[in-house]
Amino acid sequence: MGNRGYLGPIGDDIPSLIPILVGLVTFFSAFTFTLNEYNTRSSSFNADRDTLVIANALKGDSYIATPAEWNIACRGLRVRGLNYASGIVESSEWERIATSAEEEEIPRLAEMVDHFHSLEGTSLQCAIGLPSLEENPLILKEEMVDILENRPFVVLAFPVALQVEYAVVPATLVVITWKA
Amino acid sequence: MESLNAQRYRKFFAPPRASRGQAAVTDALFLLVIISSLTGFLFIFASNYGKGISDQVTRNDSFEFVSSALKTLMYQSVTRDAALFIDVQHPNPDLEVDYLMALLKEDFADDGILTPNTQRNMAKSLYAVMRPVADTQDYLFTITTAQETVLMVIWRTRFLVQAEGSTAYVPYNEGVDPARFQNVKPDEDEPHEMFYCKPSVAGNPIQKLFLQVGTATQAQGLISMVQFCGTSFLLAQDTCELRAGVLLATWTATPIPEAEWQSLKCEKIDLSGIAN
Repeated sequence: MGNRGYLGPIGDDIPSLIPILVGLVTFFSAFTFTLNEYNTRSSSFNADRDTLVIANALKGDSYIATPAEWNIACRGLRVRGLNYASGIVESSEWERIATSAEEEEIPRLAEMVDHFHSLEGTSLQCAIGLPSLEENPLILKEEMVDILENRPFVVLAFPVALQVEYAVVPATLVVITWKA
Repeated sequence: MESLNAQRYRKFFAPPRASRGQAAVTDALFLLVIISSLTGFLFIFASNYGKGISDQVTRNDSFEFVSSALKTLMYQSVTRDAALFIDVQHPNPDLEVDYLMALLKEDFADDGILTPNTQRNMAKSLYAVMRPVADTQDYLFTITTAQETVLMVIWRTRFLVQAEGSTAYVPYNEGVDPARFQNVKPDEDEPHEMFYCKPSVAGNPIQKLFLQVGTATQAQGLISMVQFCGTSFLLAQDTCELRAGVLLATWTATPIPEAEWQSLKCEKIDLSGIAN
């Protein structure tokens, strides 16, 4: 009579194992989800911060006087884990692209990259991580479209004053970054 | 032989064998409750993580944009005739070009008033510099002395509202209050307007405007202005130097209530031909 309902030392614990297992599965799922979310967002914030660092290094005090000045700023850039394409778009070019029929973001960005301004015969562009740059001095529009369509990217645009032949004109520094 | 203590323990505390399984289930349920709380905490953390950082990143980018824009305005050149443009691709050496700030100070010096040509030059420059954000952000540029507003230019998104019980949309600043937030939309035919404004300094209408538009990112600077303030023929001896504050502010496009708008005393600018 005293043994009624007793299933043995393990059998007795089987009902209690079910909530324990459910709890463990739930906890580790939530933990993995949170960790992934944390890593994704941290990586996104780092990319935002590094893009701002690149933009600040290139624009300096927002006055671009000579291509040499630009080249020094470009060569001095060291950003780990991030590729970038940046350059100066003159304001009338920006207006033309902004009011064009194309409304999608990626073709517009590629069009801007295609129209980076040149000063004294030197294109005001600064890029890392584009394979074509080893053969071609200018950033290729098609390559840019291909990268932007397949990877998450960050874009920043800041106004700068650009010294041209006889005047200082408004222009925009465009910085596009993506993961290396 | 069982000790006396062991007998007492078995008699008073040890559960009968039939109850052992229930105790284990209760313990497991307690564990489940604790794990559920932890899981809830993890989900709340995951959904909230980075909101503050994201806002901070947006604020930094926005401030960097506005301060760069203000510096660009300070450095840039314009044609002395506001109807003309500097063509970067095909430079015209005969075009009369001057720094925007030099032109503005020169114009202000004689009578303390800016001519329509200078105002137009300022509006053109502002339009070109702020173009990258102009589709989504409204902005304001002012030059003020302690006594008066020398120049104020505002870029504003036009909103249409639907009054309660009506299907038609009318411009926001025509005395119709929207019944609900969903009854407000940007005007697709003429999405933006630009204005010259001349509010009085008293009553601080700019700060009242900022209270209405939400978070505004601002960059400020000080410039020296010269004004002829005497009557002698030796003009150089009769100049007064004034300190003027320059302010550039942007905010996410928002309808501006009629009372605040009226206090700014604005006059619409013709936008045709403002862009190069």
